[in-house]
Amino acid sequence: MTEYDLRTRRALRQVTLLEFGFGPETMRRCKLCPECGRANPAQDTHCTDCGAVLPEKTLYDFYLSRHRCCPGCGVAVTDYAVYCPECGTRLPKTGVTRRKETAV
Amino acid sequence: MSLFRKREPPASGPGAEQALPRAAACFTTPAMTRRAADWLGNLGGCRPLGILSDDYDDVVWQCTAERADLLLLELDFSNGVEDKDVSSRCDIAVEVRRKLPNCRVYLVCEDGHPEKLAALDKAVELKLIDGYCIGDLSAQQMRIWLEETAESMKAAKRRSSKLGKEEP
Repeated sequence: MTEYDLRTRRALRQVTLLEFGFGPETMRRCKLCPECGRANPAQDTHCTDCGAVLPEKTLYDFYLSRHRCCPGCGVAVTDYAVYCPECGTRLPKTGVTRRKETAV
Repeated sequence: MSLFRKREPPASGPGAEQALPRAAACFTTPAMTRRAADWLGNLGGCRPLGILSDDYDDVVWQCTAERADLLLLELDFSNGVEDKDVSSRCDIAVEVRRKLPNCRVYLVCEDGHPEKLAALDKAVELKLIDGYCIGDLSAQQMRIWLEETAESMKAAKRRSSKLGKEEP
């Protein structure tokens, strides 16, 4: 596979993630209603369906609290990743350390 | 003036058509494609070409065979239509540009789907496509795209002539 193929495949994956609502940019624009679960625009204060008060945090803030994310493009990466698989940014080290195999 | 001076394509007259960009249109239905090609012909400034099938292989093959300089692809965001969404159209754009690196690809999207904007903007940012429009394609927008295409054609010609000179 050539460099062009790899680059475009990565780019297409990002577009697909965004198009189908799973990308970080889409999540930053969404707030979930705690009552009915409907996705509302981030600037709204009340749910358009049930009228419940929406939280301050966007869906991405919640996602960020649960996953290790790339500071460059925002996608979730594994705890052990050194480089982001999407954009290639070198990732900062986390508190997670690899468990050393203990000698029996 | 040298008799052996390289001839430039004439700005007007019978040879002028050769310099115009080849604009391929592929809309969601054959009727719409024919209408778009007629509209492009009436607009002027390009040689229109209608691609009646919007199947991935057909579009790529026809663009390559006709050496298109510009490709207009229409999207359909209706439920249940998977092969006419942003990522599928980007797939076509990538393959066309792999075969024709100077071909410019623009998407014509229907109005009323703000959730697709993030993906469209990202596709432009990542240079998978050259641009998009929401709603009906206006004559003004099409002229801008044709100008961009003409500029890129000139730049490609300059590059190739420079490379030709550099080669011994």
